[in-house]
Amino acid sequence: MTTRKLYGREGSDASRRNKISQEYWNESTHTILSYWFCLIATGIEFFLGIQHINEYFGQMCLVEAFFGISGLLLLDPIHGRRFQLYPKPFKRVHKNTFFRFAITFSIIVAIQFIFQVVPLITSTEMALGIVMCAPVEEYFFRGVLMEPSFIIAKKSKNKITIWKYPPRKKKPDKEISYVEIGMIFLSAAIFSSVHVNYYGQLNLLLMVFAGGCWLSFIYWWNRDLTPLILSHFLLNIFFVYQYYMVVGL
Amino acid sequence: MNISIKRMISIIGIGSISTLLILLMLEVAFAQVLTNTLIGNISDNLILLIIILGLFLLTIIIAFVVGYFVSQDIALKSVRNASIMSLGCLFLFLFIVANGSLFILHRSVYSKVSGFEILWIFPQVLVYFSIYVLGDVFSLFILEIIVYYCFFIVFLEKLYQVKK
Repeated sequence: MTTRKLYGREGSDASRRNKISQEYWNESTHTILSYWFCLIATGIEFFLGIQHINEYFGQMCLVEAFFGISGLLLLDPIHGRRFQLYPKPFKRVHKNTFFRFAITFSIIVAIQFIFQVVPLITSTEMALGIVMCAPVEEYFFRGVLMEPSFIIAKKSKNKITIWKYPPRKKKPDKEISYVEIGMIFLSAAIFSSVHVNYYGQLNLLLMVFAGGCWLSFIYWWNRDLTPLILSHFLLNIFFVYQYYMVVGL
Repeated sequence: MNISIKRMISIIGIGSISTLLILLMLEVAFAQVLTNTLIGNISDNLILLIIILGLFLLTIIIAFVVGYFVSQDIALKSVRNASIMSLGCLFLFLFIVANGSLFILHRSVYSKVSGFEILWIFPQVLVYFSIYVLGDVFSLFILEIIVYYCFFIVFLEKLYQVKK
């Protein structure tokens, strides 16, 4: 009797686990908030890029705009959904998005505080470009680069359990594959390599790498871009504000 | 309670931050248009009034839309009604607070105003309130967003219906 009960519980847990996993693969990767953030930011980066096309900053803005467009267009097809320009129905904004944002943001602020980097901004447009790049970078470096590793990891059997939920939570344990771990570091490395030509400061590159690892890890954990976009966006605002505090308006 | 405290904090928090960030993004987009069309063509005071009130209205529109986005699991009718009611309450709140604080701190503003004229000068009062009392125009938008979402969550709790 006890054995049957036990098997029954295990069976229901497994089916619940499969259901949660299946839900993720069926729904879009875009929430309506993340989609609109990326769309507006891409537009502004494109506009700034066209306006300053002869400067290095303008060309970087165009690259960022390209990141945004590729994120908007490719993320869902990579995820396994049919291509749609306006991916309706969107994934629902998670009820804990604010708390996810708060945790993500506090850690990246701590990382920035540890490295003590002040950006070098030469114009107001450059400040704008830095602030607006957050959504497009998240879409590209977290979304487009990380998503293939999730697909590979789906079939992988060698996984490391990094978090066990208590049974009352009825949630599947957090298991990460080696591919995902590799991709977290790789996406962070590519993310920091894009920042080389911005400033060429070693401190900044280390900070971006550490921040990139954290953001990629959070994306792997939550599979949601919205809190990452909000955190990165707000961080960039503080980053630029810090510059104006140090240098003066 | 239909909506847990945790969910309420989440809606207020994510709604406020998203509204503020979208406002910032749209502000950048409109800045160019405003610079080309307004500056140099109209008097400075009028420009200030148009820009501040324009952004004030834009903030309300964004808050209204983001309210829909962050409460997708709640019936559309409940969200719509809660949004409209909180909008009314927001205006009432700002009317009382802006007029009250200006009346206490800068009574000279009302020297030539009598009776119902106080209703017509509300836009100007709002601008004075943001500059002289809050000290920064952006504080008005932050106050507006937070108050809106506080009312929104109160009404949403009362009118809660699960989406079918």
